[in-house]
Amino acid sequence: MSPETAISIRNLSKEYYRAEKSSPFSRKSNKGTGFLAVNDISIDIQKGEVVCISGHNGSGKSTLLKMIAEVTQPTSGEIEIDGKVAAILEIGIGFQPEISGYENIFLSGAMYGLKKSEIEKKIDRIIDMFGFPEFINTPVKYYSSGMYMRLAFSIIVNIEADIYLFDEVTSVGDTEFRTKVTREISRLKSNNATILVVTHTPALFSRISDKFIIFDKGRISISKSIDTRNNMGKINNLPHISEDKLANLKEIHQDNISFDITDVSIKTLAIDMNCIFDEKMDICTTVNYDIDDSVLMLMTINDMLGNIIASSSIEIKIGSATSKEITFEIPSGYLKPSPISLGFEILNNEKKSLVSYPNIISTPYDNNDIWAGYIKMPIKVSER
Amino acid sequence: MSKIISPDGHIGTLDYLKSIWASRHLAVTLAKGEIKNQSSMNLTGIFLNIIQSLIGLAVYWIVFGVAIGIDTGEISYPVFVLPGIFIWHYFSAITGYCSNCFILSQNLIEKLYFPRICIPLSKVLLGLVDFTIGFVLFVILFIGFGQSFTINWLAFPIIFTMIIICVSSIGLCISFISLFSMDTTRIAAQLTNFLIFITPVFYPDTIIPENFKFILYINPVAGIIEYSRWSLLGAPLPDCKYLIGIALTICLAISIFFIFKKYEKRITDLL
Repeated sequence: MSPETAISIRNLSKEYYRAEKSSPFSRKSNKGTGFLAVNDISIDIQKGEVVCISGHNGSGKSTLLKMIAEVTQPTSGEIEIDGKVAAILEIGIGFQPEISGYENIFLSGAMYGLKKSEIEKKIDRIIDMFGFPEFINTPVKYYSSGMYMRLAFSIIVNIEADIYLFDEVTSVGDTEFRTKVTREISRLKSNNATILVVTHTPALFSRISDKFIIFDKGRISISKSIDTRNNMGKINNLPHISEDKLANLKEIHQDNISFDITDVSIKTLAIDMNCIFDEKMDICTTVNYDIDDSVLMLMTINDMLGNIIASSSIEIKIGSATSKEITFEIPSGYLKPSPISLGFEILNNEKKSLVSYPNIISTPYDNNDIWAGYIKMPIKVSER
Repeated sequence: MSKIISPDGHIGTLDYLKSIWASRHLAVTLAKGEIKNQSSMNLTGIFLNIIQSLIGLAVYWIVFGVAIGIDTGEISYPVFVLPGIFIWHYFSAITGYCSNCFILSQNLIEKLYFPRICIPLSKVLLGLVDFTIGFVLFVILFIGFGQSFTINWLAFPIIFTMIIICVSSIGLCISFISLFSMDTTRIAAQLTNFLIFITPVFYPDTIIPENFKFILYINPVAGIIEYSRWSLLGAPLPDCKYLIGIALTICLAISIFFIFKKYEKRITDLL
């Protein structure tokens, strides 16, 4: 391992057994079938890097973090770690509901390995970050969940370590809390700490991350370093629709409609989602259907948080045809390079959503300047 | 300085001892948190424990001291019975705490790494609160009933160490078994209810017929209670066969330590 490497993971796997509940009287032992939560992963993380890990539920992100934190043991492979690790797999560990926030700072701090003298030195900073000094002597069971989280978070960012592991710390809390989290993480980064963040909202960390890792079924499906100085449209990795997603598309039967999208293809010169920002793009779909009533097919352009940026729809009427090719043409020059995804939705006459296929295809996370916005609007700037 | 995490999970004995020592604050913090949490929940807090001990004492006094009239020699019955009560209470409390400690701390175990042995050990510390209260109560009664201190009191620290070793090893054993069977909590509660009768808690061992005494000899708690009576009350030195039980405890303590060392990294997955 080179001296610049903080974490070196080699051929790491973790197998879990899917235990099946059997009757307590049945004799046969049921260990269940094994599945690999993390499947043969190798990766090096350099010192001072911020790595953003994303992926579906159950794709193995948290298991990886747990193994680095030594909470659970790998089935095979090896992890080599250089430096002190602070694993924040959950915030608010060790909180006792009946005692005051002030005392809980000491309890929880001790759980994360902070010494009493260290906490005493930082207590003012922690209370200041908490933001509700008048509640510091109140038992934490009377706290609102937001206050609870803020107290817990104020403690963890004051832990001193070389490597930080955060597991979905932003999944709770308001926007203010989220920006606070990212601000604190960038502060830690400026102290040359190595940080691994597991999140479902990678857009939040897009500015401070050096590397993105996307997990899919225990494997790393995309791993990319970001050159923050020059990141626009540089990467030519072609996004594709994973096979299980297509399989999902085919299996939709609801009430009196049977609808399936067999194929989605994007017809441009090069099939590159990055082109969506520069060129006209045709999105072709082949749909098979069996419907009792006419439906509306909606194509949406979403941001990474799932908000709809733009949409367009077409009505599919009952007729003799059971299959159609529908093309959505996205004109050029409207979107700014930003992490976006495409989705489809089928609505009935009352505009009630029957079926939705969000995030069928998405741009790589690399061209990310979410703060610049999504839409190219000709805003005039003038000076006097 | 780099650390390697690999699947075999082998830890050297010395390293393991070091890691336990390094996390001693954590065990203390866990116990402290629970004590604070408990005592702030009810106003009576610590007084409830004293009242509980006093009621227990009164019941034993009336039933065994007055009604049945168990002969305790020159020592008056309440003073005689109290060391037995608080030592037994310590054992039964730890058995109870440890039988579900891993399940109750599951969230902590899944989110944070520390030597898992700290969890049952923190329960041993937690039990010390009641133990201390019992001991103070005993000293008050001891003086109140006009007993005089003897040189044997100097041996009590050794006996106290034995109590801690014995309680810890029993607690660790129970907590380890509880990883494999969810019934441990109930079985442990039943066993402690039953075992109190074959332990000389509210009677002196002299009333047990000679051919049944082997039950007491292999019972580590019986030995500890007898030796503490010798130390605190100036009773005659107990039969040296009681050392069998104490030797058994030490064997148990050593083996459970190595079992924990072996299973250390696997406990999260066993839960």
